[in-house]
Amino acid sequence: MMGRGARQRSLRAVTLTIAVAFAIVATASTLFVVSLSSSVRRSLDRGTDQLMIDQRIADQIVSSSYGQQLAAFRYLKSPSPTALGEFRVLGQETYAHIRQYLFRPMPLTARLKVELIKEAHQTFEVAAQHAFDLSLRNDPDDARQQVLALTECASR
Amino acid sequence: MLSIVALIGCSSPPPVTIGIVLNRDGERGALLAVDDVNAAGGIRGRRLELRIMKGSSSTAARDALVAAESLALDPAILGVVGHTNSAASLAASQVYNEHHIVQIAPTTTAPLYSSAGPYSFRMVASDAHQGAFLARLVAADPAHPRTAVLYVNDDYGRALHGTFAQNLSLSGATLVYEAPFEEGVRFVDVATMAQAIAHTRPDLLVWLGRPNEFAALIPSLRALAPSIRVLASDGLSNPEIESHPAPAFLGVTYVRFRDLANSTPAIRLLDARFRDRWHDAFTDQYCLAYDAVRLLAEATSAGGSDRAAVQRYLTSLGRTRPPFQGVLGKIAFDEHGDPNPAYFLAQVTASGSKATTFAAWSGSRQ
Repeated sequence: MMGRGARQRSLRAVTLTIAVAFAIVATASTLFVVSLSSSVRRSLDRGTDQLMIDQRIADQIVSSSYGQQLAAFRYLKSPSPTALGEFRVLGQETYAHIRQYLFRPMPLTARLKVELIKEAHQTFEVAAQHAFDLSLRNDPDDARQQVLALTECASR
Repeated sequence: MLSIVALIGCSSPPPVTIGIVLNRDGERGALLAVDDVNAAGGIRGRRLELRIMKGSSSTAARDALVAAESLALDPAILGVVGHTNSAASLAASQVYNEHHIVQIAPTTTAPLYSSAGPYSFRMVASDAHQGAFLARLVAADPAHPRTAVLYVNDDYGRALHGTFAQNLSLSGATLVYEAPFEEGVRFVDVATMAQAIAHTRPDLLVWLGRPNEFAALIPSLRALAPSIRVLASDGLSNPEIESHPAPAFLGVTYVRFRDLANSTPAIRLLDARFRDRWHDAFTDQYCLAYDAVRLLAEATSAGGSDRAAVQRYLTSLGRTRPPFQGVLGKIAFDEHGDPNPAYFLAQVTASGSKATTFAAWSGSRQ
């Protein structure tokens, strides 16, 4: 039979073991939670950074493409090498921003949408050039028609 | 049990599969390369097979992305040869890089492809060089021609126009007319475009696009400017022009990636085999696709049969390994996956395309 002292020692040992085990589990859990929250925060930070960069590039695309549309209308109103140069520079900026966006990771459906925006921009530039040619030919009716087509193309 | 073991032992190993997204000409080159690799014993005893994506040779991003996604998600595909043009190759390149699968683009020249990613390689140099080459030809013309330039408004023509115009302005020459155009059904008002060009009285038209739109425009333009000469980029090249060209193309000088004046015995042999099998003109696209498939086969054989090993092999060419000997010459890539530039000029004659007396241009990157 086990003596009272031996039983007390055994109980102390069990309690101690449980306490140590609990401390280990608690520490590990705390570390895990801290690490998880830090990893979630890092991932959230990365996501936010990514989103902000995406948004910045998208803003640049919108800004330069609107600028290019304005330059096209300015050229049609009063043709000059300066207006044409501005139209081309803004077109190149728009293209560069779209390409920059396309080099970023994104799902296939989003990629397709941006590629379609790129193709619409190409169509707009050709339509604008056609309108420029018509206006230089002093063909106001055709040029007006082309401006309407251009407006429709730009609104896409 | 023994018979099962024997059956497993005797069953042939799985084939090595390469994805192909090329036009008809490129597909033919790829098919002949596969025949040659398999006739020589395959790849370490494994047969080489192609998965050809039919109808994916357009410039539209949608077609390119669908084909790329399908190939990238197929674990049997170890590498891809394609796509047919710069716009499609650039669109697809991000899908291939995301899935860590090598893309070798045989005829893609857009400068931006150099930045597409570590899995993007090509068989011809960036148009940063072709633009400089064309500008140098125009600037060196003793007649100092009044020059107009038309470019297809996609990743190919847009970038080539940029480098050409920039290099020409550095030489002090100016352009009298420059305009973009669209391909296909949207290329409609030919008369207006011809009138706008003729209005500027050009002596020379620099064409940075493909043949269909050129054939549509040039009769109207020649009616207004009969003496205009044409210098075109590599995009003009196709089998019809190189064998039985339409009258619109006669006299046009254009860029090729192959030296027609100095064909090697290997090229002459390939030319003969091609004509014998398909009874058609032997083109640069065909040659480049042939070399690209053989290069991928060698990468699988010597480098290893997984996607990362294929990429490592291609990166090591010309650095830790000797360049690969292709039919068109030695193949090695720089840190952007680009080869050294080499351009030659040909002129379209009634009996096909011939080397011109102009000097060819090749050399290291600038």
